[in-house]
Amino acid sequence: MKKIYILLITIAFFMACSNNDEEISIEEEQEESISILGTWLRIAGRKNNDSPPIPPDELQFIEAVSENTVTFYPDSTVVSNSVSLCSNTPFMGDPTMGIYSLIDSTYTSIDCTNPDRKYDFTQSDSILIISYPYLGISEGKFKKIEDMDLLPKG
Amino acid sequence: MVLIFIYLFPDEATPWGGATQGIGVSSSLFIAGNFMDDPQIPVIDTPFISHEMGHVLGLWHTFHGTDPEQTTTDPNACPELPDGSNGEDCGDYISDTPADPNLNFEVNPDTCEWTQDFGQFMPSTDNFMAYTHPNCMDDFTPIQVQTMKHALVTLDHLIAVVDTECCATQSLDLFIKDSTEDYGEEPNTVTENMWVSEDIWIRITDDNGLTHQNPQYNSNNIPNYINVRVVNRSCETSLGEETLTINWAKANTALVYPENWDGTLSNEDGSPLGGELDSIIIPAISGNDDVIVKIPWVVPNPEDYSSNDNPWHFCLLATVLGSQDGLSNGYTPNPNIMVRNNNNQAWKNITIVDLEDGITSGTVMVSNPYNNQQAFSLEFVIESTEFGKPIYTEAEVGVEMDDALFTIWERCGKQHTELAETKYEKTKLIESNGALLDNLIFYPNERALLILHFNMLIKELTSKNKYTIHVIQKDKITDEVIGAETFVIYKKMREFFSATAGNDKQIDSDQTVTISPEEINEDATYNWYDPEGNLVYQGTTLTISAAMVKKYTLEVIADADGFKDYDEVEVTLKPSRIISISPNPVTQSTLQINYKLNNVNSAFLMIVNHNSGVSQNHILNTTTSTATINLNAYNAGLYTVALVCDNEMIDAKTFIKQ
Repeated sequence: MKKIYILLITIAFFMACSNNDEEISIEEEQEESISILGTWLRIAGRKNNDSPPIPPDELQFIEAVSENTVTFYPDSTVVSNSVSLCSNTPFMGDPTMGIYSLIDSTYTSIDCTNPDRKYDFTQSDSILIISYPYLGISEGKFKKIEDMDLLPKG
Repeated sequence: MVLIFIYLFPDEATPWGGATQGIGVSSSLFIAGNFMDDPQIPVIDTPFISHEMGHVLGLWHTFHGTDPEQTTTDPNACPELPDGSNGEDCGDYISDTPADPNLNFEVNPDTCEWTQDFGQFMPSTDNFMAYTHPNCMDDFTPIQVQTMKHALVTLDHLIAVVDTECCATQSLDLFIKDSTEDYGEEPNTVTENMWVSEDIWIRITDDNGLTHQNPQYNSNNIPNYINVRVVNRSCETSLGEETLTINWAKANTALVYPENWDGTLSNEDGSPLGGELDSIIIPAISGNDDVIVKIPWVVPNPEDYSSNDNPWHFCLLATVLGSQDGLSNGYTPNPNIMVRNNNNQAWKNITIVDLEDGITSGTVMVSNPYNNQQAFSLEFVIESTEFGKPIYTEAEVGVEMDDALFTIWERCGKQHTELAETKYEKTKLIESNGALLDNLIFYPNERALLILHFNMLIKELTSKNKYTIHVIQKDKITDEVIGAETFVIYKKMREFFSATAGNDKQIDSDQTVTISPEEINEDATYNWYDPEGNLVYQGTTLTISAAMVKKYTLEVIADADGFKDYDEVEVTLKPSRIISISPNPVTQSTLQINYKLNNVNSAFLMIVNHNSGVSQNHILNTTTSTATINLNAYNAGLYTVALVCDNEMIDAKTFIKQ
């Protein structure tokens, strides 16, 4: 972890010293984009239903108060304070931990019923959507609430 | 018969699952694809078809209204409280299904337990209408069944496709179900345990409840109500003259008909061990229909029967008789055979143990119903359709024999299988399914009592809330089932507590120490046991002297529901030791050595000169704690004083003689 910080600081140092305008603009873009690393709070969910099924384009996210969070760490681990890695629910449950990959934007977790099951996630700015295997669509919506550089690993 | 249209889609169809057009709005359902997890079996081979049928017949999901993010077309949806207190008005509107926040299929397919703990919620993992693993779906609750039956006779689109001409028999045939699989064929070959009919149930008040309650004695002769569902499996409407008769018996694993059921037998105080209630006329029942018949019953006073404080309930035998529908195969002594051969009869031997009500035990009589000496076995068997942890791994299940049963068991050498010893000679613990009290040699007509105790172990707790264990009496020679009693244990989640006896302690031989466990936040009993399992103290402050040093086990039992936990603490003697040498350095001719000897038979001090290696021994009196050594013969130098107890060097210190 220490090595990663040193590397990041070194890169930042060299980038800050650059006189190239194009590089500065890339740097600004990077500063504006939101990293997956950090903590995300669950704010809504949507799930299909078998009686009757709702067409996907009519299936709305429903907001529900939740304290469920997921946190992405630089070492490819993702940790939730509740069941959110396995289950699309605003209810609290046991903490869960998984391994994520940014190559295919999925994670797996041995804390879930099926440890081989891949959960897809997509990030758009400060919103993260996790897709859960289900009867059709089942998605949880999360909002970024804390960046990684403020977080000690729990 | 109702015509339901089932549309099947290919296994590779996506999304997988089932669908209906709503709740009770059409007679069609759709099934497609393979279940999402390995082995990805076709959904048509799973109970999802029962799930969709539930929707067709008017059932909502068990999480309906409670999962706030589930899309619904129901404008009245509202969440069911975790304790289910608003279960009729919110959630799935079914009061006997627990509140469900939506399992999301996160259920272990092998144990059928949640993989997650959702706190106060304890939804059923086996209900067809939950989003649970298909391996676990196997149950509709009684009120769900009632709701579906109601739908069949009230929803127009279902009535329209009812074919009333299809019935099991043309001639009148009334029957009582022995189990959900029983459709009245004689003999009944589909029911495993004949003594647990769900179509006989007791309510302690005249309500419309559909679940069985333990009968409750009332000193003002206020009756309980025995409910029996009588089914007409024929096309013909019954005459309205048929009768329902109830016989009761004190719970017994060997109930012979008619002696045990008609009041012929009584206990030593003269109180009858059985009886027959006045018959009730059954109203006319249309073909393929059923009615629930209620019979009031003034429950006998439990104090007339047993001096033990553990609840001892009743067995019930229901018989339907009519001029055109008698017992096809007549009466036989063994009810297990008689009820199996006659669909006009059903039988219920169930003791409910509701831990939340503070009930942690139940009693049953074990007897020899014959006039000759006979050997029996008592087998303890988990209900075969039950998922999750069996009761004996999540609780201590104590099998207590009264004096009479213990004597019977002793007669042939106290044979048993998978029963562990306890600190009480007459109580054993069930260790696995099929545990046996074996080769019980009964004298003719001999009777005894067996008490089962259930103490949940708080550290083993799961979200499972119902456990079933059968006590089956069998003929030792023929293995024939003589009878049985079934215990159904209910528990709810509760606050966690932990037995904490404190840190291990050391004392000297002349000291005492007081052990005080951490008290839990509720009324509880604190028992202390020695390593031999003897109860040495009951309370929160145990004082230990040197003569009592050993390892103690603390047992904490919550008074409210019998949940328990254990911890251990060990009290040992401090090692013998040299406490001080003075003066040091020493210039005088004498040296004083203070020491402490704990539980030693012999001891001496060995004083060794570091330069020469020469040593001298000084024998110690084991009852004293000070020795004065004359140093006149000692040269100046560095010395080591070693304390040797029972030929083992225990401690050492040095001094300098100047």
